[in-house]
Amino acid sequence: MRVYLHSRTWFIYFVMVIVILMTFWHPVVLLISLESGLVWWKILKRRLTLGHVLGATALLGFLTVINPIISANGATILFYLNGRAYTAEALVYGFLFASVMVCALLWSVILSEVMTTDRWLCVCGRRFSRTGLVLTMVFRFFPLFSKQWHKIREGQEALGGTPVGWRETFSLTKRELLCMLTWSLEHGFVTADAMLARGYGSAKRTYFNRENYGAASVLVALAVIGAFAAILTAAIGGGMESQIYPYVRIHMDGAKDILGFTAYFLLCHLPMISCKVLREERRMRS
Amino acid sequence: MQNKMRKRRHNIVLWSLAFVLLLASFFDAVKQSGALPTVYVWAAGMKGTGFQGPAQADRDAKTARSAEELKKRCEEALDWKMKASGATSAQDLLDRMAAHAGKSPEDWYVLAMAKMGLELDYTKYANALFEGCKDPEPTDVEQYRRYLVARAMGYEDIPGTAPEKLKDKGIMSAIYRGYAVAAGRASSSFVYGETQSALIDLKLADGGYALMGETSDVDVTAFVLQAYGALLGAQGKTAAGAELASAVRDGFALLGKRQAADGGYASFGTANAESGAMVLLALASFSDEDITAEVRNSVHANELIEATNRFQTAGGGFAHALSDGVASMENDLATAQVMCAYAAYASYLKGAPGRLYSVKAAATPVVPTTEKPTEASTEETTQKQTEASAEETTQKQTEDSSEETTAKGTEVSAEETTEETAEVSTEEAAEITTDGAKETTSDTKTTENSSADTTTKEETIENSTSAPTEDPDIEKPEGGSSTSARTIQWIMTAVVAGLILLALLANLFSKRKSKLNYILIFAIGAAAFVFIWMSKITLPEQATQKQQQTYLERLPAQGEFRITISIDQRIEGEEALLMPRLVTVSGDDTVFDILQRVTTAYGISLDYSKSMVGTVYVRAIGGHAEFDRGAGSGWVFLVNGVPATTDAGSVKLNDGDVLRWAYTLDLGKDVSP
Amino acid sequence: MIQVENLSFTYSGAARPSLCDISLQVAPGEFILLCGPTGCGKSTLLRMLKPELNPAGVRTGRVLYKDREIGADDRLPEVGFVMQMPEQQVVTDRVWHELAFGLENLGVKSDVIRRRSAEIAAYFDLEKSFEKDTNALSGGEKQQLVVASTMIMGCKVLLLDEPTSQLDPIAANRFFLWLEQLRREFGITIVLAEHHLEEIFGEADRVIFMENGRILAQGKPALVAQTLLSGRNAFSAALPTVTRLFYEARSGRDPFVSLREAKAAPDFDTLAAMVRKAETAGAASEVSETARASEAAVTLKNVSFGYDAYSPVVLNKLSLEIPAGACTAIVGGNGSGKSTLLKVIAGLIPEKKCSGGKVKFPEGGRRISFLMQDVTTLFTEETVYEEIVAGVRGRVEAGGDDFVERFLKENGLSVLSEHLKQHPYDLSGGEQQMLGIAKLLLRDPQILLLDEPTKGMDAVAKEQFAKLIKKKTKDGATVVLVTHDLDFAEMCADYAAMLFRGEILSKERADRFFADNVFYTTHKNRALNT
Repeated sequence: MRVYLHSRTWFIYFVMVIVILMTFWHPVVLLISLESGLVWWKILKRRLTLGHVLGATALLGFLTVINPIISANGATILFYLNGRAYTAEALVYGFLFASVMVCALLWSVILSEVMTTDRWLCVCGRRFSRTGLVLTMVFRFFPLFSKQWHKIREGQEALGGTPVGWRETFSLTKRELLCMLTWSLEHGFVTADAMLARGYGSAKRTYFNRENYGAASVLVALAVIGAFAAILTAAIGGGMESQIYPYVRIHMDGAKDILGFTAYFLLCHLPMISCKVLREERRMRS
Repeated sequence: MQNKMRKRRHNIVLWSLAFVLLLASFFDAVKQSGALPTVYVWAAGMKGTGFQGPAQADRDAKTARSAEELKKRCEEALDWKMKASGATSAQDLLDRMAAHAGKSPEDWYVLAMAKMGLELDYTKYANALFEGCKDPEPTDVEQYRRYLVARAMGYEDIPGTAPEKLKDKGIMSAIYRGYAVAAGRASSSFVYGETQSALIDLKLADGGYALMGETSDVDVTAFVLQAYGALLGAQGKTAAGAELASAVRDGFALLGKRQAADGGYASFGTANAESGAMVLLALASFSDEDITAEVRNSVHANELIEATNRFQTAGGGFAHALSDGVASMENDLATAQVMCAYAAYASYLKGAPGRLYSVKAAATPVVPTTEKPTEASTEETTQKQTEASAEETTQKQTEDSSEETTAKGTEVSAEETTEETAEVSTEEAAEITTDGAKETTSDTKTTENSSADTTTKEETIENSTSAPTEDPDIEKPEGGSSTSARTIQWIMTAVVAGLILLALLANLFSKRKSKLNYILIFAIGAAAFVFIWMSKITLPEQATQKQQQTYLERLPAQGEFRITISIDQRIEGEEALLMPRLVTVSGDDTVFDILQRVTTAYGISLDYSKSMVGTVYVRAIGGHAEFDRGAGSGWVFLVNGVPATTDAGSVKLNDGDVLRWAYTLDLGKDVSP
Repeated sequence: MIQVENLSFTYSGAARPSLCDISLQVAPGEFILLCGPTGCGKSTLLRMLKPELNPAGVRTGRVLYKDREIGADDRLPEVGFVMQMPEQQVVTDRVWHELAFGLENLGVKSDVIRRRSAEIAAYFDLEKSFEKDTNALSGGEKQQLVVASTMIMGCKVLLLDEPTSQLDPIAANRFFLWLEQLRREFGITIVLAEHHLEEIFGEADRVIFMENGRILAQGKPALVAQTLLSGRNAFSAALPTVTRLFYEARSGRDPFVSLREAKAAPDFDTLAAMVRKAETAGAASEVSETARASEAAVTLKNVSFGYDAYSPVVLNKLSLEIPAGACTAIVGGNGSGKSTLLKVIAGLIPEKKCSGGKVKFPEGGRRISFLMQDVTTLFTEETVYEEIVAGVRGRVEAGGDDFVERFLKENGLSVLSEHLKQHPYDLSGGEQQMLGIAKLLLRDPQILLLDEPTKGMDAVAKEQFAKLIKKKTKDGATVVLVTHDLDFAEMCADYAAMLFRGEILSKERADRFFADNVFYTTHKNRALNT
């Protein structure tokens, strides 16, 4: 099945997933986010290596252990570290925080993969067409900039004058930066000329919208918003609640929990029906 | 080879993200400390409302002389007692009395001596008192007395005298309970209310109280009024309910009615010294804020003193009753109670708390030690005393002297680094308690061993106080505490090692390896190891904390005094983190120091940040953090019911102050009166 | 279509006018080639024709478009303008958006843009790359994209300012062919400013030769060629090889302007024989000179390299000896691994990453300087003088006050001495290359690695540069040259090696190499091939 989704639908989707992920620090929400994130990862044909898993685990452990050092909040004191309490709650908080971070990382990769510049442009739309233009120019300029810098580095090295000592290295880096500045300006002049040559500023700019709302886009968007509303209802009604400080407590509230989590699960997975189109787009881009 | 050379970016991204997060949280912490002195905002402009004795000015002129007079009479009475019992000095007297501590009216002498502020070592007496507690079946009266005396001497934990056990056994129980509650044992505002009501319920129709029957008794009424005074004092001036106020008013009205024409009081038809002393004590128990002048003036205090003076014999002691209008035969109880009353009333007149239990107890300067500061301070204190007695002490000077005594305390033990000194003094106390005049070892090693040593010694105290025969359950192996700290260090090391291994593996399995990653991982690992092994890890149940508890709950030493602290997170239906509690603090301790020590001692977590300029911001206590319950929520503290004007790191307290940490929901507006 | 009447122009702040009394007429559908040495004013003239890009300065005379005078405030979307830098001219990050960009600027509605971009994509065969990132395109593709996105605005006149100067010769050729097709199929008017005339000269309807802001000659290509050659103008070196080769043989009359024309001539064989004879006589002496180069300055053995596991291997068990004291040209198609090979020699790619391959140098012969492809990346200073001095200040100060001047003169780089106070970016492409080379030479390297050094150079500069290389090799330096420009390679190289898919296929003496190659060879050899 080939389901095409409008950029704004995607936008709404990601905003809602990330908002929920960031606000509900609930183990079940995290699990769902992780699971759907991995499924997306698979759909987008990214490799999941052992390195990823181990790295994420290391990050998780690291943040978990670090947090109680930073925050002495929490009622259960495990021991005192240099006079400050090292609490169990802070450990749990650190773990949850790290999990949220890992999930957020995972989702940010998915976001950047799905929300291409085209989609951002479309989201920006007519009203923000100028912003959109600046956006695409920036998106184009960043890789160019880093490429150029790399080339300058290499060029200096190639000249045979490898700097000796930190003083020389510093001065070279400084000059390289200046050089980059000049280059950027020069680049900017030419680009400005090219834009003028193609009629920039001669009339009120329109916005080339390549996308149409299909029935699927509208339906999915509605479903996503509906799921979000359901989650909100559940949350306001007291479901999906977890508390870390001063004591870790996960409130279980059967019906509301089930409603909230099911809604979130659906919310995360629904747009996956468009995976075929996404893969096609990916193929065409490179 | 080529296959292994692959592009890899996210690993670096991951690590840098971790670092950025770390940095961010660090900066956050720094920022919070400096940027959020919300307390300042709440309290802006309130600075300067100090806690000096109120309405002092108009009292000064007329009272200075009478306070001196009362003091003189106290000293005369003490001289008589010393002569009568053949003691060479006040200390000697105290030590002699220790033989029947808790079992005779001589306890009142101790109370009086404590209230007079004599620089004595009470440890022997206290110990004897504790020994007595092991009586298989102590009578209630004995327990009450022990409790009161121990409180007056500054001791708190007296086995078997827990006031909870004594309740509901008649009016005396209710009174003592009032005292106990006020002293900070197991109380909250609820308990206060309950205790008050229990006493008020016993009020008779004429506004007084009696042990039995429907006729009020002066002694009992005065006693109840003392308990009211204690309750009021412990709660801060805000807590006086209308009911309590009216009970106090009625009580004093009755006492006023019963006052004889000559100003004295009679019990069971006999004019006697003790009843008057009790009434005087009742008057002394209230500060000028607690009751209005009108209520206070129901009883004519000056006439009462005049009348009581008549009971003094030529020898200096006081008689129970007059025979043919002349005081001839001294009576121990009368002498002691009058001494208490005079000492307390003198204290009241000087603007200090007049309540018996809030004694600024003497330190323990008797022990000759190698500790220089102690010696110096002893000397200086003596000098100071001489000075003080040479001049006629005015109100202002009294203030000065209290300030200066506080300053001296700095040298003795209250420096930030003086936890050790404190330990040492505890140690010394222990030595004295157990072995009498055995020579003190001044073991002041700063290593773990020393703390372990102190631990065991301290346990010896426990043992000797609770059970002279060694209890194997309590005895811990030497250095046991550091072993468990080490275990934690090993656990942490293992965790970090595991993480490093994970990170290394992650790097190994990632597409491209870079040297930088390995260096980074090892650097972080090494830093973590260094951090772990350089850190001082303490288990919550570990000795240092017990020590802190004993520090907090032991007799105030030179330059130290007691304050009441409570920590209330103010959640409906949840017990406060710390009910009001009397703790010993040094004059140099800031509110924050006290909070830190108290939270550590009672196993409450504390999250705070210190800014560059030294201001302290308390973020969370016991897991209840700022902003947990709304934008305006967080911790504030009140001293004697007055919201703080500056940060906790810069406020110091006075004797008898009531410190309250409360969780506010609305920038402190909801916790202040 | 376009009419220029007595146009003069002086840049604000400049002493001399850049354009002097130019009069010009461009007919619809005409293809005009504007040529002349660097700084002759051709770019300025082109900019005067596009009102949006009119430079600031004083101008007299008139420019008319479709009989209507145009000033700086006019907007002429019908006139398209394409500049040198492909990288910088692309505005957006996606091909489709680049195409739509111009129409968006004109305020065209979304559905119209959709149709037009589809049309253009279909015509220019951009359907496959429609969704691509513009950064993923090659330089030539970018230039084509720029032209396509100019065309989409419905342009009738296309002004091109040295559009191929940043492209390699093969991509340049492809671009010109494509342009030619465009002209044929749509009849659009083209004004092309160019100094690389080899392929395009004969195709132009009219050639205008400018020098010092004036039009010196204009007319049919043959006529302009005749004028240049007979006047012994220095710029005649830029004329197509075939034009120059046969000029003498045809006794200075009626020069050929394209290979096609030459081969169609009835007496071609005899003419070719004459030319060949003259050429071999000159070349013989050179060969004997280079014969002495025997020992190797660099020896590569079994070098393999790939940037990552997913991309194909760039160098494949490559073995090569670079003779000392000679110039070795390494030629080959795009992506054959030429630049990578230089990086391996320069040590930018360390030996241990070469899968066990060895890179050997003789004792004390490791002083290498490497001129990378984009020479602007070398410039870190504010002025040309500072740039030359940077890194070798000690040496320059020891050499006395006029050291730099003398050095430039000795090395035939005296062009630079006029610009010592300027910013390196203000130099023309050729001059920038010269500056890069000056920087290189001041480090007194034993081995010089040059990656496409002739990019942006005009014919005159190229000749000078070839002479400089010859001189350096004679002085004992080893030069390794990577280039697409086979004519240049023939001019200065002693040896030539062909790199194909990461392997060295043949390494011979340069003259023999180019003579033996049938397709991949110099224009000269192609012209003389019978």
